Amino acid sequence: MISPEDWLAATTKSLIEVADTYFDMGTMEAESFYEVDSPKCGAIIGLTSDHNTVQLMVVATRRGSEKLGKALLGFEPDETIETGDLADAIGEIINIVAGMVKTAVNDQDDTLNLTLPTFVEGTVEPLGGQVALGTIINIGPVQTKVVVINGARQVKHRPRSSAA
Amino acid sequence: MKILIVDDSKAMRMIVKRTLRQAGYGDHEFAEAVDGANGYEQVNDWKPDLVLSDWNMPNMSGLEFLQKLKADGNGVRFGFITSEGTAEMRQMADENGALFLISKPFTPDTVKETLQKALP
Repeated sequence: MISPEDWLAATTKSLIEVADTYFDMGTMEAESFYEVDSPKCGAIIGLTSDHNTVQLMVVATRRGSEKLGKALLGFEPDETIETGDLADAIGEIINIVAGMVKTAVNDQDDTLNLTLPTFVEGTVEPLGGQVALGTIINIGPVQTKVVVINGARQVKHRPRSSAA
Repeated sequence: MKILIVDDSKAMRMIVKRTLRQAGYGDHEFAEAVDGANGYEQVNDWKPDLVLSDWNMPNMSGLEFLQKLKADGNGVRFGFITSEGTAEMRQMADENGALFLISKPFTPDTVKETLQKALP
């Protein structure tokens, strides 16, 4: 079974590579943390097999996610990005990251399947029996959090009451 | 040259197109399809010279799309641009007649080098 620390290391490395390739803003890993309880905007994706179940998440503030989405899509900074385009862009980031992670851990588990990415805005709370840990990665001015939730049960998503 | 970009993500279709422009393919014609089924229709209608397809897509995956083209005897040049690049997938792509598999994230240099090798 792949450890949460190994999932996090692979996910962090992958996000940094994606950011360096597509954003050209400068990327820096800042610190690790063990809580995911503040309202965030981002995307989540699952990697599952008979041996491993993990959910990977990349989140930032709504404004931060919009900056990343606009940069990915080639929008001007003052252009408006609709939620559908934002979801598509942020979902693609986590999809690429998860694909890289799957490739990176292939020698430990070559039966992993990717789920479809899901855009989330609100509070994500791991349920009992799950292990969550993460790393802060600064992509230019945008502080993002990479979160790994390891465990078989589903993550409970609590939407913000003022979600856009 | 007519290039068909097949990906269920609008964001990724835009990135592929932008990268092709940056790689020096900006003066070619582009069309887009949202999944393998839509790509299959466009191959028959628009008759591209090159198909760049994602692997994991709803309705019809990239591999099923390629297999359907091959079953028809359609020899359009076909390459994958996908987020997963395991050795097994590369082998499957190769065995089914794909010219290449580019893993995301990719740079203009990667795309240019790959297309230069794959195209006449």
